[in-house]
Amino acid sequence: MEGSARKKLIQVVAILLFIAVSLCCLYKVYDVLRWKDTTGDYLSSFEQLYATADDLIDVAFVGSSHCFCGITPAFMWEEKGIAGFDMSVSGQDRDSAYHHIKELLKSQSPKVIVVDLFALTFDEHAEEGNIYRNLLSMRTSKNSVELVTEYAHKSEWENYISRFPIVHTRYRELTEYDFDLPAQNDYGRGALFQFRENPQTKYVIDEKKVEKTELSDDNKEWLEALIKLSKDENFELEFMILPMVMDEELRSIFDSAERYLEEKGIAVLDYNEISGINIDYATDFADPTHLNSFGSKKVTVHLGEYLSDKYALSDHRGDAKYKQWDDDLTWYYQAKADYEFNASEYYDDVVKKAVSMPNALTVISLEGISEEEPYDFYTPLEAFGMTFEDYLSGGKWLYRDGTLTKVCENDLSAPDYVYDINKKDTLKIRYNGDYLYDENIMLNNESLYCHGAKITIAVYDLFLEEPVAVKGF
Amino acid sequence: MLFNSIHFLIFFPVVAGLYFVIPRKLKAAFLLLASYFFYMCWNPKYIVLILITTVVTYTVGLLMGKDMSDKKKKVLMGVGFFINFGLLFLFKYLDFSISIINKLLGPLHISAISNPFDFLLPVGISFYTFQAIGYCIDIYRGDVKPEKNFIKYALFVSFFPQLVAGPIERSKNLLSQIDEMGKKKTLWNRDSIVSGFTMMMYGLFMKMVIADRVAIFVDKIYGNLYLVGTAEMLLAAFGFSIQIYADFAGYSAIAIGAARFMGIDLMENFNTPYFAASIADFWRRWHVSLSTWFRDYVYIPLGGNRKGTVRKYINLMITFLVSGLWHGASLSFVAWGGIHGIYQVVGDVTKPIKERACKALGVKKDVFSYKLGQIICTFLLTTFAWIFFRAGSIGVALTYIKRMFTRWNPWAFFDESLYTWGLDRVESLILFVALLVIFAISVVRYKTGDDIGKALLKQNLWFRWVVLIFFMVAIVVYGEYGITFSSNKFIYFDF
Repeated sequence: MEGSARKKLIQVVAILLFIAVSLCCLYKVYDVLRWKDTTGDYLSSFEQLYATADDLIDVAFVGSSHCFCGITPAFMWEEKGIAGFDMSVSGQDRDSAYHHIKELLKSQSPKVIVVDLFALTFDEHAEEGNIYRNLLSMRTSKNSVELVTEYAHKSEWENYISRFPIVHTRYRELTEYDFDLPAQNDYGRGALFQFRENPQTKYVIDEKKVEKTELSDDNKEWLEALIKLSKDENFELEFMILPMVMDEELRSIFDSAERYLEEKGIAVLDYNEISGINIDYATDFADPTHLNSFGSKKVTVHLGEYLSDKYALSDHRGDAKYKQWDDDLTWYYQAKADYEFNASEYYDDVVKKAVSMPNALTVISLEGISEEEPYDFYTPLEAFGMTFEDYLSGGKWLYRDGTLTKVCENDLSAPDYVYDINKKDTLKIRYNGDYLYDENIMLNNESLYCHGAKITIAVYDLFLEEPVAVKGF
Repeated sequence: MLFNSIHFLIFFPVVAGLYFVIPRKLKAAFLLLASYFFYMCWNPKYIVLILITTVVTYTVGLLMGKDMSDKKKKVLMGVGFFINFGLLFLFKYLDFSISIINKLLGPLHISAISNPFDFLLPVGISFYTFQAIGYCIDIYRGDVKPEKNFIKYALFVSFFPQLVAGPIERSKNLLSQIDEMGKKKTLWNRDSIVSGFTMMMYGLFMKMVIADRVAIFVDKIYGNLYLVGTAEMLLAAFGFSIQIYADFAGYSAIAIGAARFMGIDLMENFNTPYFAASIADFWRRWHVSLSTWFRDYVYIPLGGNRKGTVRKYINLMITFLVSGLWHGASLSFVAWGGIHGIYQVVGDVTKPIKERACKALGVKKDVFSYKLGQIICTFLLTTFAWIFFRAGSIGVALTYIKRMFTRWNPWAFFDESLYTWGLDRVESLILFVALLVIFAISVVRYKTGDDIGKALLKQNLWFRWVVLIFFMVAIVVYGEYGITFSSNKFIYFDF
């Protein structure tokens, strides 16, 4: 090769290499800045889908927040061993639902897809964030571009397709999760766990006010597209309406959809009408249109039995390939225990919950305790294996995996106790002279000490890798 | 099509890529088509204006190239001037002229006249008109020969990188390069590509990270003159100095970079203007292509400094007032030009006094502090003049100046209230770091004379890559663009 030709070749290689390195850098930057949230709190059903190995999901539930609040695959797994998954996104509209199913079908071959009909009730998103959730959560592909061109106005296509024009200002809101997503994105199955009870009053529908209108053309088109997709892709299609406080206007839309689908021989599972699941409006709702996990359990168990009977779905429990479903169930119980610990107020109850909590790291700080306390603080602590002498000697006690260890005396000369809980969290415990110091128990730079309390109980969730609560007495 | 748009991000690589591979003979025609497409993305109708300017000046040039008397040449020049400046007047200055006439008619109780036309200002009309007129004058003077190839000439008038906001090229420089385009044997030149790309990235950094970020603060202050005090107004005045520099120098850098990428060298337009030690020095560094145009085609033909001191000052004032008017059809632009003229005249008149004062006070002139003092004074004077440029009217400018010196609120520098005017702590920090970057680059330019494209070419590969990737990431992440941002046009598009 001649010198000049070789020189040119080297130059071309250098330019190509520069382009490659630049693109890698920009991709890494995009990966940090990109939209990551479909349910809130950095939890994304798409991340969870992409973390799932091919062809494991048997049943997918498609819909908006009603779906991820109302259907909890963990219950179906616990009861029947069904590998379910909520392919649901806050405010999922019709176009998004269709393309989210297509995205799911790229890697999964579900036998059944159950679609929530709430998308029939609105045409456009009321919240900008929901547009981002639905349009930007998928990986960029032909499918995601098609969704943008169907949903967004032409003038916004370039923004949604290239994504940077929308997400680049996220540099102002980056958190640790933008660099390292929460572990729940690896095993979560799309559901949102909510334990808050928000009593509702059932709206009694005046049937005279329910208009018998025909389903709109857009809604018909969507249902037809889903039916065609189910035939083309060979999956069974079911429709459902989840419990909510419903008025006549919504009822009218759902009724028209039910009539339309009935004509085609497709029944709709309307959980506002199905008797026997005993939805309690006092305890089973998180808000007027969303079930909490207690309500979700009732619907999901019923739906699991229905699907299992109708489609003879396999029980995958015990199969190592389905570990994500096991972890999802563990997460549910862990989140429930965390919630209950947080909600408890009385000393005896707090200690009891702390003792029984799975995967917990508990710090009990005893400062200024004397033999003649007006309240019996000691007896509940026996459950931790603490003797009365231990109790009286005070100090700070760390409880992990069944082991109780005193880590810090009430002694100013005692060295700090430092414990790396995991890669991101470090616990530092010290004695500062009395219980009025806030920096007695520190998790990274955050105090886990209850100012002015003689007894502080701080609990850290080892499964979810986050502090649960600090209680002081 | 804005340089900082996704359309240009697609347009430029496609055009540059095709330019490298198409046969040499077709390169000029291809670039001409691309340039017309580029221009028509704004308003397809206005391509007619460029065509008229091109055909008229091409014809005038060809005719003047023939053996004819000076008188005939002058007539031809007059026709060329009339048509081109007529178009410029019609689209840019008619409305302004009518408003002036109406102001004069008002006290006489004569009913106001209305503008029979309601045209949008064609983007870049002042730039390509001046470029084409400059070509005619060059031929009239015999400095260049007429270009016979219409396609090459049309490309000279409408070459897309510099079509809408300059640099205003000289026929001597650009036409010869267009002519060479069809003769070059090498397909592409790595140094040109690297240097051009660097200039483009730097320009985008200046525009998107700095100019458009400062603009948020400046616009808020100018939009709330009666709610702010001295602190905010001082910062906004300095902010606009930075904004207009980063905006216009940024545009020029992209234009020069895009042309250089394709192997064409455009003239420099900015040479560290805020390091100027005097107003005259400032104009040798700021918008060089325009200031030299006015020097060569207005100031010198008027007699320059060859006809005595008084005439020199008159010529200076005329040149700067016309320059102000070139920037916009508003008295505030004329005032801005006039202030710069006055600066120069006063500077010249007081020069002996300054000399004597320095001597009497024992001021050392060959030390850094003296130079720094000169630079600071010049920057303050230009910043003051920019108030008229930004204000939109002389009334607003005077109000701004009055309030800036009378609404004393130094506590605003300490109570963090400055962060409430569009740029919070994070945005201000980003701006500060970005300003440090252009300051460092400007120092290199000042010391070596090399623009960043050429300076970086002298460095090792790893350093070039780091700098370029820094620019890319900074533009993509910290650039002002996208859904939450209504992209500012480049300020000089309206001129």
